[in-house]
Amino acid sequence: MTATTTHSTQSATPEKRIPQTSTAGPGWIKWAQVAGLIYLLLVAVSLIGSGFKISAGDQAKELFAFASNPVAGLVIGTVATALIQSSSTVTSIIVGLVAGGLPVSIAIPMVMGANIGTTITNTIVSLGHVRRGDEFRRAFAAATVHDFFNLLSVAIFLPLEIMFGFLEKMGASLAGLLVGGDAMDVGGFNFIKPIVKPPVKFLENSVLGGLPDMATGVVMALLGILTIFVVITLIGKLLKSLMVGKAKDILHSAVGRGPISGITSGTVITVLVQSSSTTTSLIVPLAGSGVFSLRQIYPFTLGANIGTCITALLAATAVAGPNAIFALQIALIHLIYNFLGVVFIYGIPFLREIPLWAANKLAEATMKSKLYVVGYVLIVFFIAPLILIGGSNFLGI
Amino acid sequence: METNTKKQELELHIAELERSIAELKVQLRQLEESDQHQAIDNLEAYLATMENRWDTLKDFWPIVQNELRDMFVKMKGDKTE
Repeated sequence: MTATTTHSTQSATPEKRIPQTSTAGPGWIKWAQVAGLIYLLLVAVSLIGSGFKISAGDQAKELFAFASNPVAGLVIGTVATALIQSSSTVTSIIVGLVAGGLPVSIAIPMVMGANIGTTITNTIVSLGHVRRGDEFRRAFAAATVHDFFNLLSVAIFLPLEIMFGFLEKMGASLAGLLVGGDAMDVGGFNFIKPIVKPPVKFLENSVLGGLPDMATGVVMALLGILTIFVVITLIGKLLKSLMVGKAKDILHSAVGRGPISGITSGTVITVLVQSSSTTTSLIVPLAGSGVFSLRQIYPFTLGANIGTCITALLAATAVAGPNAIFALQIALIHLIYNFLGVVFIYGIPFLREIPLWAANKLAEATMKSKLYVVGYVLIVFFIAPLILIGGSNFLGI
Repeated sequence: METNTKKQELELHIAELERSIAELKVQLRQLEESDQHQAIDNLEAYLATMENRWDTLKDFWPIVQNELRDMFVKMKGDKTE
């Protein structure tokens, strides 16, 4: 007897009604909206790159000298993502900044930080189970296993990157392979730049033409950042409603299969909904109900880490000019870092168990007192970053 | 001879028990997978709760306040003793 995929709706009644989406409409309208928003995302990335280049000129490296401390870069990525609650937004902004001249070596720790910061979202979602005893313990563990995995990944790979710069080198090699030799045009993406550049140029020359260069650049960059935030939020909402059926199919197909299937499913769902927070937050109530064990949902959250890299890669296609290859490089580094994290940490049994053990221990502590939750969030996302910055400055790193 | 017969009986019995356990494990796995499929069918409901993150924090805050209050009361009580 095999488990069937259609089931009765006789299950725990959700406590909250499904909200009416403001993006209701036939499917093709929503897809057209998604296409329009993706175009806006590319324009926004181009705005950031151009704006930053105009305002910073050749001083981009000096402007971000404070972030040359890799720990500071890590903290910036973590805190920015924790506040915005979207790693896709932050990594897209980082791609734009690299396009504008931010050195890749400074951007790498920021990208790592974005991985950590994004886990605050599913932690907040798990708090919805707080009044339900064991359900909260399971849900909280499911949320924090992602946190602990990303923290372990940073603990392993950031020192290696500082010492050997291997991610930067791998990203450069791969970017070079993809775009080929000294050609600075991202060859295969030529069709995107002609449609992305005109609104940027219009804004720069016509709308903001009367302002000094510095002001023009700053306005463009800020407008780009704001646009990315809005666009990614709206894309997320649209894709959630469009892809929920597909996500269910993918999850159904992964039931009863091994971790590779779980990782792949997490990756595909995240690519479809363009948000790792959505994927990992969906997993939390599934684990909370007790139907999926922590060990079973663990691979899904890792897949989300890989799937979310698609947004930065998409953003990199919008970049033109001599920095295009660097934008592609940082997007590829994001992918390589997450891929290697999954391969090494999940692949090595001893390392694989650490996030599970830590998540379970913390979840058990929260059953005694919910203050552990508050302490954990404050320490991981705010206090520890400040201490690390202070410590690294003191040590002169 | 009797010992050998007894041994063979026990071995047969163990083999039967192991077969039964294996069958029970299969049934358990199938039940678990059935529950998992049913939970996945409720995915839309989980999406709805995700949209209400700020409500979640608002619900959580009074719990934190109560625990902080209890902690301070306990600390005061320990001091006066």
